[in-house]
Amino acid sequence: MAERGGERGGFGRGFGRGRGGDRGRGDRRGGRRGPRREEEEKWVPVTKLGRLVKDGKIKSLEQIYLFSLPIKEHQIVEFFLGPALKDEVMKIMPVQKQTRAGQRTRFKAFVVVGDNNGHVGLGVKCSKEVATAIRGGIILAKLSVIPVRRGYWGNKIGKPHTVPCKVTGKCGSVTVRLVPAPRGSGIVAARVPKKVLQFAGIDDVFTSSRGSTKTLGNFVKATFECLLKTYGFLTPDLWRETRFLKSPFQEFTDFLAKPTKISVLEEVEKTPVY
Amino acid sequence: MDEEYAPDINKKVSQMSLSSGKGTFSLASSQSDSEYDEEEDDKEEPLVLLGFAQDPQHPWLLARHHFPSKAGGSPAWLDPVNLPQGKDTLCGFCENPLEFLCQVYAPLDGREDAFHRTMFLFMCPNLACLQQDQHHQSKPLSEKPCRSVKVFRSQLRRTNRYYSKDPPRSDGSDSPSCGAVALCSWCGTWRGEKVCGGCKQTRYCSRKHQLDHWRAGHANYCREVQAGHDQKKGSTLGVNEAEVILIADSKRLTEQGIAIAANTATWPEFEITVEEERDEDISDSEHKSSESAVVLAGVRKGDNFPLADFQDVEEPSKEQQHWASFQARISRAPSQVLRYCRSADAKPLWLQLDGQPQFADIPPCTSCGQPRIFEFQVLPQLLYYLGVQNNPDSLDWGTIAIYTCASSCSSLESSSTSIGYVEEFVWVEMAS
Repeated sequence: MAERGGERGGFGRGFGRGRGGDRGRGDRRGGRRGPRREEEEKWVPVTKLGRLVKDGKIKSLEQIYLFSLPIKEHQIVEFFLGPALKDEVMKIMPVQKQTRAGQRTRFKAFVVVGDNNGHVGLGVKCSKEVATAIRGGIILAKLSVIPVRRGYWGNKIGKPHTVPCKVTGKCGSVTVRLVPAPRGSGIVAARVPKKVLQFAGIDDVFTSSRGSTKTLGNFVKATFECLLKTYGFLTPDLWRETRFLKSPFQEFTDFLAKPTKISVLEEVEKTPVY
Repeated sequence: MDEEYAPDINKKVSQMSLSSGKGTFSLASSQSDSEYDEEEDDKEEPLVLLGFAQDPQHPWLLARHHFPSKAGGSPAWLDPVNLPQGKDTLCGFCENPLEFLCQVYAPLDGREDAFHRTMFLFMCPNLACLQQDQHHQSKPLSEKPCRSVKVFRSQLRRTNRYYSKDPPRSDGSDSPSCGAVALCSWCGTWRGEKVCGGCKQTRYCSRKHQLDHWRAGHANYCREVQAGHDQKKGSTLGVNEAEVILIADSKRLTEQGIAIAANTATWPEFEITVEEERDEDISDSEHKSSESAVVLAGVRKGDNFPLADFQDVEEPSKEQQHWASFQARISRAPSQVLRYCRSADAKPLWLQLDGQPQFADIPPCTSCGQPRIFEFQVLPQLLYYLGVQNNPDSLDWGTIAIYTCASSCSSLESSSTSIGYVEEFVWVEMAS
């Protein structure tokens, strides 16, 4: 702040700092950095959905899923799932690109996040540094969190522990089929999808796969597609007619006033009720 | 493919050739895999100044003779006499007066005629007008286009007829040396040319504001005055107490240079403080490296999955990557509301890939013909601070970029009509 005068003789400088000086690395310690540090940890939303979440108008992540609204800020997911959300880096893979001056190596990070209770996400990020790739991967994984429906194999005693029905997903040439399993079977699957299913909170399941499962990238995506479909399958307990609700962007006061029960829309996703 | 276009006076030719073909220039265009620009920090980027919305330390700091940068409330006009008039003050689509969004005080070094220089940004709060404005901003016609977002620039020399050439004292005891033109009592923003027919005291800029003020309590006050009651003790017939105090105080406050508005539903007032944007490596490396080191150790040790497994997992789409890099940049200072970088090769931070203006979209300055360069952009965090509602019809934008005359021309001395405010170009990128 001693610089405030200079040739301006006491007048403030506002935003006038001259035309783009150099970034003097290391010698810029702002005077007001202290009180803003705590503010920086606070999330300031950028999108309208973020603002609605920050205000507390949206009660759970399921309301966002119900209307297929794109989640663009990972803090929204953190807000709802909070500390229960665990992440794990599955693999750091160096990839190389041939340039005129030799090879350029970057690191690809595969991160899976989940709360072991019905939400799972997968993120992939490539970056020059490992730390950046991991951080980016975690954020992307949080953005891609999907809900997973669980059901019973036989008697409806205790908590749901397996997939509600046989579902199948396909990506590339790989098809994965998840079959409900009795309690205590555990996850019967290959290593990578097993990790994803663990994070999803499925305790017992049988799997069957076909195609070139060596390309585990496709294998993981096929498992993901499967899990996505668990909430798309119309089972008899959902035969009751759906009462359509207004999306959070529409007349919010009405939405809160009516007694709501989360009803699941039909298979066709991506039809936002605006 | 080079996605960003920064209108650049000096390097115009090289820019054009760069955009048409993939040259040897080391920008993002040389990458074949979809990795975004933030990784390629090869050349020095111009310094970006960030603006943060904070409550002012003292309310008089926002008076116009302190040359503030502020958001919300009423504007602290730099040139208090030659305000924009007529059509300039109205939204091009709904014909309502525009509301004040923010002002930025940005003097230019080494320019005598730009010792004081401020940009004022106004916006119609109606989302429907903003959506119509989207169509109009990308076809700058030769005559004035119809817009719902407008920015005005004003600049003064150090010695001018409105302010002293010495800096104001920092204890709030000053007042501006020259009186201002009367402003509308409702919005405190535009000139109050029309006088209320009843009390002959309150002034308005438009019929709409007169109606709003009438309904909000002026009706009682006006009748009071007409009946000739004592104004100081106006509480007998249920006159709004606040109204009486307002009229009494308004004289004092306008002498101090603080604008007041009867409209309490304007956006809340903030001061915009300035800070330089810091580098990512310095700030985050210390406290993030520890956690990633732990993670790394775990991964390297238990390397369960063979290398070939993950070759084919798709990377996220370009749109998602662009958004991720926007968020990464914002995360250096999450509460920023404004980014200032007046440079020919400045790259504004866009939210999406497809809302960006091309070089041809930005019209040259109407008064001197010089091209316009990017000056500053307003970010959507400001909506959060202003407390804008989140209904389907409430205001929402991605970012608002302001382009100003590269030579910051001032037509004050030359023109006889003494134009105090020059209109500059605004580009709004909507949030999808």
